[in-house]
Amino acid sequence: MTLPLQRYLFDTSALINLVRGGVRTQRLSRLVESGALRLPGRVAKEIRRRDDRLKDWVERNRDTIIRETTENTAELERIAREYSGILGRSRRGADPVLIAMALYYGEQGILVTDDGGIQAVCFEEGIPFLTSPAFRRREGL
Amino acid sequence: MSSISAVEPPPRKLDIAPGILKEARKRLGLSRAEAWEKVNAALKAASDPPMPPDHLAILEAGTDRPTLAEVEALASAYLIPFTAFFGTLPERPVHDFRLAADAGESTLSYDTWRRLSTFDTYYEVARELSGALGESERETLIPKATLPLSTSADEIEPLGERMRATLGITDTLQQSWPDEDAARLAVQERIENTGTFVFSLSLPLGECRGASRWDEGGPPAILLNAADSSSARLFTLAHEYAHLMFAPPSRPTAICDPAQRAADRREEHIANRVAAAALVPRSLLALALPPTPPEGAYREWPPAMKRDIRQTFKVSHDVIGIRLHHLGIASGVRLTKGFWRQPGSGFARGSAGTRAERYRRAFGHKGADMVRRALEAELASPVEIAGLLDTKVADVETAFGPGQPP
Repeated sequence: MTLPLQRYLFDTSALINLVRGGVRTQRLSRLVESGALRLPGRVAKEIRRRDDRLKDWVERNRDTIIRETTENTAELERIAREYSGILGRSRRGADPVLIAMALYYGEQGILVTDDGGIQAVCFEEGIPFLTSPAFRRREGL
Repeated sequence: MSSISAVEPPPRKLDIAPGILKEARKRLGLSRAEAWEKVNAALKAASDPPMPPDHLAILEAGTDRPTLAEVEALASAYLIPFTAFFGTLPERPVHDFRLAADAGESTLSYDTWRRLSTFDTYYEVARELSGALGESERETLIPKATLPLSTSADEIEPLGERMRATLGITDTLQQSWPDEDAARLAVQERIENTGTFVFSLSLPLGECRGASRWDEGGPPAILLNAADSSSARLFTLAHEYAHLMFAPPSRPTAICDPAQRAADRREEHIANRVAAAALVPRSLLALALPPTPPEGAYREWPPAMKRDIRQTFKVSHDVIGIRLHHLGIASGVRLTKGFWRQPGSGFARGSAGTRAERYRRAFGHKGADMVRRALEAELASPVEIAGLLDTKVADVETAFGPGQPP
């Protein structure tokens, strides 16, 4: 029996915080190669817009960027409807997309986020999550 | 669970609330063609594929559903949260902007709504960071005042005096201001010292000179139109500060003055008079006026004489007009021709410089200082602030990082 591979789903701020906190992108690339690090497409777009350093890394690791698939559409709509108050006034769809994707992964997905709003929804939905410092400790980065 | 691959599936479609697209577009007064242009600009900015010309009509009719990228672009173009498309629209497009009775929301242009929405974002940042820094509305020094029952000088003058006293504007200080810019900067600094944020953004002229907002539990804030002249911004500062004196923080409020028609509203009228009384005190005005008014002055003061008076106070002709009328020295307010220029003119001022410079200018001294303190105390990271402002982290670091000018 093989244990299912755990996948880390990153939000924009958590990934930028990690790299700005001194984690070298080469080490993140290793997680990408093993399939353990995933970025939803909307998050990747945000990173490209938000941080020039990570922009290049995202470009080099296009394979890790997964398009949001049709399977979690209903969850995305539900999350957007139910947590509009918590997810705030943002015009970005990245946060509900990320949460819906974590739900789609089930127990295999761990959301890495430093955003209090996303963490609150994770708590409500029973989604495992880590902050970026906790992720760093866990992976020994 | 099915497998997830890196192969891109076709863009998925989302079930948004019926009727919401049309409602959101109409509320901003946009035609379908205008809306389509703005949605496409947002799609282009996000490097997403463009929307075909007739697609918005199809989406509005409910014949087809939008993709995730399209919903994001629609949220950006319609100035509403992403999640609103799956429920109901927020009650008003931006916030509780109170408009003149005869200047409904439809009279404001899209550019004005967009800037008011940015003001809203800045306000949220100010509220969040000032809360994290332990500041609260209790620390503001704005003296509460009851809205006067009448606009008589007996009721207005003490309020003007109270504003001067709170802001520490003395006759000597006022006479030391070399020009209108110095006057505006001095009054802005004093208002910021009362715990009020003063943000500056370029808005189209002729619609909105300023706005103010003071939500329960949040700080008071004023928005200045950076495209306005210094003397106009000086008056806007005093006018909005008067509004804050009347607005209890328990009443979520934001006030916008669309054109001079706003003067028809009682509170606008009172705020104008209180502001004029604060900037042009009766004692100093008496010294600036000739002992004997020239013939016909009651009907219309000679422009040269008004210019001399305004130079004393660094305010516009129109403020002098308001003041002379209020004190019964002139028959009516004759606003300068071109006082309200057409929308769109002079819109570029204040937009020069790098993005970081623009942020620093837009946030004002208090806002920039608050962001700096929050960063230094590690109560917020540049990444978080960039997230709130939806901008590059580097811009936040450049604008508010160590070593930046105060």
